[in-house]
Amino acid sequence: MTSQQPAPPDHLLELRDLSVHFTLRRSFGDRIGHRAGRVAYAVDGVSLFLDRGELLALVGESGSGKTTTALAALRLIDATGGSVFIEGRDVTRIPRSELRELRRRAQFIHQDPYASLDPRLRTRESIAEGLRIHGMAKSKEAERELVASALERVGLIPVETFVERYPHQLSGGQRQRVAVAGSLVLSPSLLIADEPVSMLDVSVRAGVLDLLDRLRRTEAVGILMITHDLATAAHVSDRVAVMYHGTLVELGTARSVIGRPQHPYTQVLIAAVPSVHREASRKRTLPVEPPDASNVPPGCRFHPRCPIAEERCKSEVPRLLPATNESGTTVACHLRSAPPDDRTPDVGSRAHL
Amino acid sequence: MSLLHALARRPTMSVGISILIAFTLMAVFASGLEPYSPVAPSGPLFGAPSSAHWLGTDDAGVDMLSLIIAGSQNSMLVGFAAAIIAVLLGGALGIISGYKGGWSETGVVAVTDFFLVIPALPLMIVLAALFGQSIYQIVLIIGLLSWMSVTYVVRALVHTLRERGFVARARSLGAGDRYIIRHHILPHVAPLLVAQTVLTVAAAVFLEAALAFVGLGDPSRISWGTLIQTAFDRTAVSAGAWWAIVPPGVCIALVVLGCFLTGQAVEEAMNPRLGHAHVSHRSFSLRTPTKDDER
Amino acid sequence: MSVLELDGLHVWFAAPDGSFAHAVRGVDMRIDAGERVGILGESGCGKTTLILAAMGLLPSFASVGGRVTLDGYEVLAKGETSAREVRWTQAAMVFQGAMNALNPVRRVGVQIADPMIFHRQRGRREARERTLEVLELVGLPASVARRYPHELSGGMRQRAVIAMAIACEPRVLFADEPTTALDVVVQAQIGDLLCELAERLGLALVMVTHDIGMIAESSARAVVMYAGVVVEDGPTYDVLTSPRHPYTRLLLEATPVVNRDRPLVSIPGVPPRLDEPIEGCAFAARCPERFEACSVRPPLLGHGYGHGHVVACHAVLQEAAS
Repeated sequence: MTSQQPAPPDHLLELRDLSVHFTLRRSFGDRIGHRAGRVAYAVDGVSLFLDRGELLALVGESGSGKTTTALAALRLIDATGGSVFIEGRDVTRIPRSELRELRRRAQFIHQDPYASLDPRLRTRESIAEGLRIHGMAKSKEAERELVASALERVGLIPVETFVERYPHQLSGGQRQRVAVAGSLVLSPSLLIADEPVSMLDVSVRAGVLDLLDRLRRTEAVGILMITHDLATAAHVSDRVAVMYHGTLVELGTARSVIGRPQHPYTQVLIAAVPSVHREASRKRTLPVEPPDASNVPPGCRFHPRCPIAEERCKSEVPRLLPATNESGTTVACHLRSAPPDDRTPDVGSRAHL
Repeated sequence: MSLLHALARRPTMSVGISILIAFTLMAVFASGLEPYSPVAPSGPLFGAPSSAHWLGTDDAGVDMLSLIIAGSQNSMLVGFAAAIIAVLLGGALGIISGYKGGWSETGVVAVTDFFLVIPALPLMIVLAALFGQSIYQIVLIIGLLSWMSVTYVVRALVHTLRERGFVARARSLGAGDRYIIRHHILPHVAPLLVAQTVLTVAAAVFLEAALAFVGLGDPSRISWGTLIQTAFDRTAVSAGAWWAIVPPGVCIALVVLGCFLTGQAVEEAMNPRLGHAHVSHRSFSLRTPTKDDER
Repeated sequence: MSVLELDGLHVWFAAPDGSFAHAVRGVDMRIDAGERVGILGESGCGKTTLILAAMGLLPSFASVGGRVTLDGYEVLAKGETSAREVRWTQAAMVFQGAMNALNPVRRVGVQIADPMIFHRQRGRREARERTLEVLELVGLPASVARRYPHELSGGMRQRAVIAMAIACEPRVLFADEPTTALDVVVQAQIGDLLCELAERLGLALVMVTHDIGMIAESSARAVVMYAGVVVEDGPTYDVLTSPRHPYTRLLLEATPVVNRDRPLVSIPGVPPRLDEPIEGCAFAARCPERFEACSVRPPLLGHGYGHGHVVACHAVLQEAAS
């Protein structure tokens, strides 16, 4: 069961040109006219990598494809193009029978802690669920110890107070920690957290974010965090990847992407974050409504709403290239990146091939 | 368990379940409760209710009360047995089609629709006429023609369960379909199955009586339906012997009522919002803050 | 002259087991015409319950105490009957996720005109004209009236809902988390719209949210709630830049900001249970500044510093007195 690809560098997670296209149901008019159904290019040619001990924030608004990317990375939905390498193995190509092992090593933290725990199960049963599915606990004793250890690692102490509780007896932050514990108990190497704090009260977000921050250091896991909130990304991530309409538009360290954003869209996002001190009228409003995934404009996807778009942007798809300001960020913008180098691999989209 | 907790508090539940328990006890301890023999005459022919015979006697002089009690055995038996068959079959089909989707769902829906379209009572009559009239066959016939609504209701619930967060989480933990159905779907469907069983009992008891009334009941056994049928046959109406016809009918009505009240209470307990809809005749109440409330 | 007054407002919710959750525990508030108030708090603090009570929109298992006066009219005097008199015509509300509560099988224009016709404010033709008027007010093209909800984007639907709310020319507009489900850019637009409407129409705008950014940009006055009581109330700029109440301070420190490089703080502990009586200040258990008086007597709203900036905290008021 060896992969046909040349041995990739040893990243924990690597997405190569990942695409997820949904074929929409054909309307009646389509059927009569014998037209193929429209395609929603939810994720279109996304490439990035993540190593152990790192926290990469994948930032984008709703509809940008960030959650779809995360689901496809763990093969919770099927990708339509590209590859996903986890610990060197191409998970888009492995047979279904090997998926189970993948599920143990790569975990998904769901967004809604109020929905992700079965209300009928006590904390210890929710946490032990993974153990039971993978048959990892040899005895009740072993299971109890593993559960207790997981609770400690997520900071739900004293452990005895929490093991027997039902979800409705826990706060949102506590539930989310239980969900993390349920994943940690399987000793994964990769954690993908989908908006882990967006449904929690502000006063408990720091606790959960701190937990994720701590985990990637002490447990040597790599964390990919999906979020729409740049401020959250700013506080805990090492690197930030910004998605717009299915593609990556900017990728770099948190400090440079947020401190000196290069892509016009990133700049709009940052300017749109409200602040007490801002009194001047906002330049952050964009002229046109956000488009939908089945209506991809030619050239750069952002050009209809871009304040600095030129002719070239309407026809030529920009590639992710190093930014001209030499901050180390890569950006997909004709006006902000260095001229293409023949040796740079093509990370363009497939939408117009 | 909070569900039992919620149930215990509802008056509809207490009334409903009391009725059902009463009749079930009656059926179980029938032989001990019958004041007279249900087969041998013990009084005058079509005797009116009296202190000796509380519900009078039938055309052969057999005590009506004993007949009712004896009849409860078979009526309740058919009711529960047929309901269990219907709910097991309907529940299984509902879970499979609701969870799997795709072709299995389309197939099950097609079969369910097929059976739904067939007029059940005439079909039951035909089958009973063709395949004999033992009580076991009656149970099968009623059971095999009452599962359809259960399937639809269960399928709808499984559709919503399928989308719930904890199922997605189990899946991302690596659970297969069987694990999810066993540990997450079934436990949440169980209360609905209980409610459906109870409601199907009502239908089954009634159908048994209907079949017996048209002469297709088990002639070797006494049931409420056969009692009504014999009474009609033996000219109780013209003799003015209401006590031979009304009591069995009242028993059937009471059992059906008990089932509906219980079933409704179970459904309401499962979904507390049914009692507090936005559109409700009740509104918020006014209350004067007491000293303790003041700051 | 205040357009909305809350006097000693209490709300209790009856639980299935017979106990009561005291969700709003004695709130006094005065709001003037044209004022833009933001009620800030986390889940369970009672902010949504508060505005539902002001409109008499509480479910049957709720009981209300105290007074709500809208333009001189007592909304809760006779319970549902009196509340219905002012609903929509004097006080309207934009609900959380309202954009998803539009009826999918009726055109948007019809839904906007409905309340006007129902409250017998206008005949059909006038209602249609007014519909176009309000659509323009909220920045939507007239063609939207003929569309169905699913044909509009989230932001447009939220504007349509706002149009519906102002159609009957209310004096007060309540908005419950009006922007949570929307994109950051659209959030800013809706926030701007609400401010503009408050100014143009002389509406009192009462916005309930947990989003500090929203408060910062769309309200002139910030009211912070915790466990059913108001803990701080003052001009937004003052409250957010120099918060007096320990809870407000901690809340601000826990909010991640894009361009500030300080560690995030989370507030230890959990809010108190509302079905048990609370002795003294509700925040005392988690407060870094607590002292003996805090667990004995609940603090009353008093002047901390500055104009119209009140705080309910023994520590602050003690310090201010000295």
